[in-house]
Amino acid sequence: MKIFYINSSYMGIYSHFDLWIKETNSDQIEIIDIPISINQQMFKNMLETIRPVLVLIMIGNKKPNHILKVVKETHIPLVVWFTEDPFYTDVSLEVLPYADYILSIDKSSCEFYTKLGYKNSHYFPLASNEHIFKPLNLEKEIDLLLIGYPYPNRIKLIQSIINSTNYSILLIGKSWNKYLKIPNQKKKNIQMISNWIPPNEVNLFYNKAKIILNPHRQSTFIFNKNSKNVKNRSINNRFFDIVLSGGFQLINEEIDSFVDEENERLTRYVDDLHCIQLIQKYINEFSYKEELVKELRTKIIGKNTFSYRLNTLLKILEYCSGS
Amino acid sequence: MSSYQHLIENLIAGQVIVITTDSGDTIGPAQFVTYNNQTGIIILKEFSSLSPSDEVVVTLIASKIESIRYQ
Repeated sequence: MKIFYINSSYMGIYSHFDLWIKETNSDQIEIIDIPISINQQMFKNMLETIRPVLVLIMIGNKKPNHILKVVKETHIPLVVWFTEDPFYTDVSLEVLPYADYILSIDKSSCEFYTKLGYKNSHYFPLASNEHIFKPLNLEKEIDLLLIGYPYPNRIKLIQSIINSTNYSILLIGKSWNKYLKIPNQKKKNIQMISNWIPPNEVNLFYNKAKIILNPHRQSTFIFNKNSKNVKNRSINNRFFDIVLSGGFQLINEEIDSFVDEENERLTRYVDDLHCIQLIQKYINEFSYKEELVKELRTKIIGKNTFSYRLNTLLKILEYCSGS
Repeated sequence: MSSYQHLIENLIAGQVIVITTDSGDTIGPAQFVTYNNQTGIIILKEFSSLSPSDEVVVTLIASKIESIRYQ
């Protein structure tokens, strides 16, 4: 069974998603990797000659017109995976008419599309790589860790933690230093790495942290293209990476639990103050945290890889074509 | 030749650098693309850290550069 996968062309973690999807090649599935910049006529010839069972494309904040148009002309099923939903819903809305199957990483976006009349939409979270994100027996030398872009809600949370506690904090992401006011006596506690770091290094840091903060991006962030203000409520891909690494994470309460409501409810915070209270409660409770993570990890492992997602996709296709 | 021209004259296209401007802002890590000595504009290619990460072109007034770090 041949599947055309259109490379995302994005950098950072997307270059790894591209790689991990290609690695799902098996006896049953052959992934044929297509660069997004492919010549239109060449792409059409390939589609008509090879006749893949489907074309899979991830859509973030761009609409690749030439790809969408050609796939439509050849009548080969197009599966669109909206991997930034709902932050670029304005772009998603332009792509939806081309999609035969709609996959979205966010439940609210799925409901939004269904209400618009797109019946073939499915909640389809991103995935992780279990060979990279795994527990390592390392000393927990960092109190708090946050990896990612300094969104306003993250800046506000970190500033509140700095103002009211003395925990050591490691922030990994660009330009954190521009947004925080750190008193001189606390500067030694706060470390920043401004480079993008690859997944294997991220796993090391997850394994060295007592608590990992994972406040999710907000639907109202100024650089979003989400004029309908669809509010995100599904977990991000870091959620999987952190659980698989054996890390303990705290998430804002607007985000639904993924597999275990009782377990995950314990790690949701209502506001910054509540987050600080949870940090104080859990920071040195090593065995309790370990137990919670272990329980969650058991439910996540094996079911949230790209290979598993691809098999789920094939089941969806089989079900839809049979019904 | 002014001091900032000394800083950038030996840059090679594709070289990864971090620039600090005289306002204290840092740009990079970014790839040096080109410098136009007629306009005094330097062009860099930086990766946006906002997801999905994409290439961003940065045009910068070269005279505002305070320091360059090489990676």
